[in-house]
Amino acid sequence: MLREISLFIIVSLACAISILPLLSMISTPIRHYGMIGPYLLRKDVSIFRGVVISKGSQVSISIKIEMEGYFHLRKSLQLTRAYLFVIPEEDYYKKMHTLETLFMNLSKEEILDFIKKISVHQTKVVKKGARAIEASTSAINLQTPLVLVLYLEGDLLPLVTSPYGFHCRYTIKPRLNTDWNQVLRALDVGIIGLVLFVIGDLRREDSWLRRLKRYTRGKKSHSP
Amino acid sequence: MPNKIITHSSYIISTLSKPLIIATVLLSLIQVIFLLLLLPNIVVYVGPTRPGPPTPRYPILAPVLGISGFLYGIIVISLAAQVGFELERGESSLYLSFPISRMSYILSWVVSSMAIPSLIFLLSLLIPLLILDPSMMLGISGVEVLLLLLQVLTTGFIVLLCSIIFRRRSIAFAVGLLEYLLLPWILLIVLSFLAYQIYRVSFPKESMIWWMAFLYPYNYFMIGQQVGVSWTKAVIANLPTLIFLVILVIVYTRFKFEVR
Repeated sequence: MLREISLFIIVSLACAISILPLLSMISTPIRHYGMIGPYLLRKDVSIFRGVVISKGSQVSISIKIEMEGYFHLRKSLQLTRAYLFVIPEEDYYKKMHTLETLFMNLSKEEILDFIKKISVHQTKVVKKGARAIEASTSAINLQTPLVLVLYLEGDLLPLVTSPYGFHCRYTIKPRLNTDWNQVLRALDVGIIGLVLFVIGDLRREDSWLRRLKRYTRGKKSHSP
Repeated sequence: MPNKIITHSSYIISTLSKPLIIATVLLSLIQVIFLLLLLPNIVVYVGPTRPGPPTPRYPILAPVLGISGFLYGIIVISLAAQVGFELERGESSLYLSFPISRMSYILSWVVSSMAIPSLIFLLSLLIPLLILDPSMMLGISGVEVLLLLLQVLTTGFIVLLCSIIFRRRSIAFAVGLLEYLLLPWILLIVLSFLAYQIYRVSFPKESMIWWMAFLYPYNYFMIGQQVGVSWTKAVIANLPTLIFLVILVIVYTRFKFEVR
């Protein structure tokens, strides 16, 4: 029984190892849709709170983020500058409160600098048509939970007077990164499986290893 | 007695080894491939902004277990029905002429037809996780795995009971397939049809699917997700059923089981 189980361990390990190199090439997107209202709103600057991205494992993961947004407005939105910021969740909750209280008194540049300082990544938001915007980031290493924040600057009066929010779709493309620790762990499991297989096989009367030994001996004695 | 059980189950495994190894390797391949490919999506959480830690999401492993769980169920059903084949051909009387009790004989079948495939099923889930991140072995939805194990074991004991009562592999196998694959869905279709025709209510409602928890805790949990059923309810309903079946197998083996 030990022989069969250990053989199974070796087979499934071989299977897992053969797939590991492929993992960094494959990515299945996770989509999140939502209607969000502005977090902080002024006639000239507006900040939208996006989604939280976190991981439930210590495994190394990099993500690419794509954002597509649509404003439910009658008039076209005049944007001068727009960014999508990626902020660590901890910093977001610690520092955004300060921004919240000072928001009305700060200049556009000061607000932008404040968010830039606490963000780990930023990307320019591109206008797509009259009411739609989109942005996509390069690969970001997902270590701690991250919050996405959208910064809009321009003539935002239609947004202030509009009762509707902002319809947004986030596409997160996670990619698993393999490292040497995983290879070492696979090696450990392989050694344990092999030892169990040898023990299990030698305890059996119909040992495959003994049969192999007899076969190789027979081959050797027949060879000139 | 435990030594005899292990020796005989070892013998059963060796006689079944080729088909068993092929089937379990297939199961392992499917499970490992699906688990690894879906892992980034399983561990990454995307949700609305909130301060708390991510809450556990169910069903996480459903895409993986949907396929591997089906194969695992078929393996257990076919192995448990194999007892009927031995009884049918009279091989069991040969084994029982050796100093092995009827109870040890049946328990060795329980080990080789249910415990070993379950162990292999768990290993094929755990090995990829162990390689990638050992901490995930505890964190990744043990609930779904537990419910699937309970469901398959319940079916396994039903098939084993049919094997020793009817002494026919074909009957036991047919009962297993009917109970595991067809019956829950037939009943669901009938119930949803009746619910719509008579009461004009949308399906599922917990009052319509509660019966599933007794025999199909995993299916109950999966279908009841939309109406917020709890996994503990599924376990609490299924465990007495499973224990009752185990007792039934033991009592039948001790007092009624005969080998011809």
